[in-house]
Amino acid sequence: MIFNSIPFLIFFPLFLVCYLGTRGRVRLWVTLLASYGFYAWWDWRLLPLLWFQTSLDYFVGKRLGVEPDPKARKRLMVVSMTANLLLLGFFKYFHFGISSARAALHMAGVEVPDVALQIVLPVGISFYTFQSMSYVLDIYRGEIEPEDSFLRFATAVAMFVHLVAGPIVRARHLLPQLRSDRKLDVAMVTAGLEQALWGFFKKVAIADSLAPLVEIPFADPTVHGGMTLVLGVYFYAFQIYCDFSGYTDIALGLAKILGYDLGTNFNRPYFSRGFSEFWTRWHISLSSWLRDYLYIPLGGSRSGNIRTYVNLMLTMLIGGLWHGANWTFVVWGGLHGLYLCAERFLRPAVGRAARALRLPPVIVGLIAGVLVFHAVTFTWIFFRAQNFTTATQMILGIATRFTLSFAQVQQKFLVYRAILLVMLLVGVEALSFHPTLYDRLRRFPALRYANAALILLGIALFGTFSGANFIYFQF
Amino acid sequence: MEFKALRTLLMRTLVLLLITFAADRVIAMGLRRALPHSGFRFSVAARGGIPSGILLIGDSRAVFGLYAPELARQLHEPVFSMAFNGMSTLIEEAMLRDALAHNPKPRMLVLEVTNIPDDHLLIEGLRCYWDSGPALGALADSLRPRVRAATRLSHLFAFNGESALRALYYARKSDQDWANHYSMEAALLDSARLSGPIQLTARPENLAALARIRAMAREAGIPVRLVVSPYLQPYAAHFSNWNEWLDRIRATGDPSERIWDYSLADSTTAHFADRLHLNEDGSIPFAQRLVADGVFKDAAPDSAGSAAQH
Repeated sequence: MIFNSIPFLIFFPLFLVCYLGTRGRVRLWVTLLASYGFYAWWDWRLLPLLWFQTSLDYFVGKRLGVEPDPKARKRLMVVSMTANLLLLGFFKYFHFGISSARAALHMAGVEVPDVALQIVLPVGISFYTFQSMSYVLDIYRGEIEPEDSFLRFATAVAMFVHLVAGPIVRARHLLPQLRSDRKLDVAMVTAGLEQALWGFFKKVAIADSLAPLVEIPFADPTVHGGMTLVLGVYFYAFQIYCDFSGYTDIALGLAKILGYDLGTNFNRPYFSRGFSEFWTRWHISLSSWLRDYLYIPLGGSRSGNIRTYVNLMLTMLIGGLWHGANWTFVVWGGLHGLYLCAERFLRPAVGRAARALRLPPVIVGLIAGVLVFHAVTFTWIFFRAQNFTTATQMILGIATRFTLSFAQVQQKFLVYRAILLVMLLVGVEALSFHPTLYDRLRRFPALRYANAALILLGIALFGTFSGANFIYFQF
Repeated sequence: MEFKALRTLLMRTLVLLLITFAADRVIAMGLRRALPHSGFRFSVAARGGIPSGILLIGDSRAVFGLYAPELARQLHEPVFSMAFNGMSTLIEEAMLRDALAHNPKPRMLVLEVTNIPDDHLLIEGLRCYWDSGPALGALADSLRPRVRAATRLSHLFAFNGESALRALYYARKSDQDWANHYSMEAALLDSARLSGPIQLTARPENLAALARIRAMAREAGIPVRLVVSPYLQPYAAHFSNWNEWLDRIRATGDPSERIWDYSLADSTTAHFADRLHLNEDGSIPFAQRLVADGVFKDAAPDSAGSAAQH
């Protein structure tokens, strides 16, 4: 079941009625069972895996809460991490590991027979595994107390709004909210509805409109002109943003309707003026997870420049691999790691140059923003391409065949519409940078109604209702 | 407290839905009124503005193969193209029925007949024209009942698609000069050369629709020409069942009626935008050749003329 589907449009109101009609433990049971039902809609056979990881981390957490011996505590933590990572590794990276090893052995002249297993990737495993792991790590570090109620912990892990594609909600953030019944708050529900509607618009009107225009060049870059390839790359930058942030907005909006605040996962990332700033705006729940549970434990920036660069590269390479079992994702992460290192290395020199040239901060910010956006967009080529051959063909095609002509561009009217929608998105996000104006506009109820009605009309006029999955479900 | 909040929320939702519903109707009404005034081909057909002359129809191979402006120049009479990308014969039939019902009778109907394998996805893209004629509306009812119902729920949804955008773009100009202004990429040419045998297919409903179109034209006294525009030769060389395929087309009407087969008529690679479509450099000489071969004469010559046979 996906948010942009008819079954979900039936599921959510039914759930909401049951949710609002219950209290306390019964409400938790309703939420948990509905979440398992939501998950089982894909493949009920994958539920035991979710149950196992939930149970393991709950009991490890409980044990950590009473175990005083540091060595025993470490053993418990290692057991939980090993089990979680082994499961994630098996389901997500088994074939990748085997094929990579075979390729390496082949290069060394050793032929190994192929091992083919039919392994289904459990949807959302990367998200709920990281969420569950953070719970154990937080208890191990003494930052939170273990949760007493298994029901509450299981609900926090499995809550359908964030289960399959995030955001990666930390237990320390969600569990306290589950300890008391959420009151129906008109302002929060209204804000949630607005956010969910805007998320729907980003998904069905923008991301799904861009999808075919991205598919065409990436399917076979060699047969298209340079402009088609360039448009395909730019459109993908916005497709993935609108797809994922659209999903997140729907998830966060639905959570607000239920009375939960799950934080922020995207904060206008393409307006970033630096790569480190980009990672504080893009998929915030993952980047902060990697920062807190990987980068800082590795030493962060506390152990000298070289060690910092190594830590940055390692964190981003693992972040890339988290997205999928393919070397293209590793390269994507590696490029981001390089960008972060380069930014750190060049920042003082760039600052000096800007001062020497007496460039106003606005101009410096604008130049930096354009550079960061294009550098990030370049990395999306590897993220989107099926393999290195396609990525190389895309890059070579752009480098050798690009002209400023639209003559060869197919489906021009859909391209024009896509450009219009992207401009609309950029305009809305730019407007929200002006908090005074934005908040003033939001104070008028009539304007808020008009805004919501416009979004609904926009969905009717521009929406693509193919029931396309969200890109991040595959991760 | 909870009940009061719930009541407030329900009221707000109701107000929002009412505003949205009203805006949907008002905006869609404005668009619906503007639609027939566009220069886009289906708007012209909907308002009865097709000139009496040659009427061309088919899918993208007709759009780019049968170049209306050059044909009109050569023939000194109006030539109007109702062809559109992805137009299957079944959709073509509905469009023709509606167009012939409220437009002057054309002197001749030219069918580019290689659209018999096409699926009917285009029907969704034409949703802003579903109410402009009973045949297209009925086809939409049968092929896409849920989408049809959705256009009744949201009138604005009917304008969600490429056709509405094209109607807007051609609000004040004609759309009859569509042509590809580029030549194909070398890699595409290579892939066409390296292709394996290609088995041409035909959808039964498209063959049946073609039979009905031919019968309808005969009853209305409109001469019909069945034309096959050029394919890229290295690509067409891989067709493994060409003659059988043409026989299936021929069998949809009077078998003695000639199919003007120009599938291999152009050997110049630079005349193609891709494997299936001529570019402007190819479509202009092709139009001249069609005229020179007498395709548009009232009494068509018996011989194959200079048309290259596959």
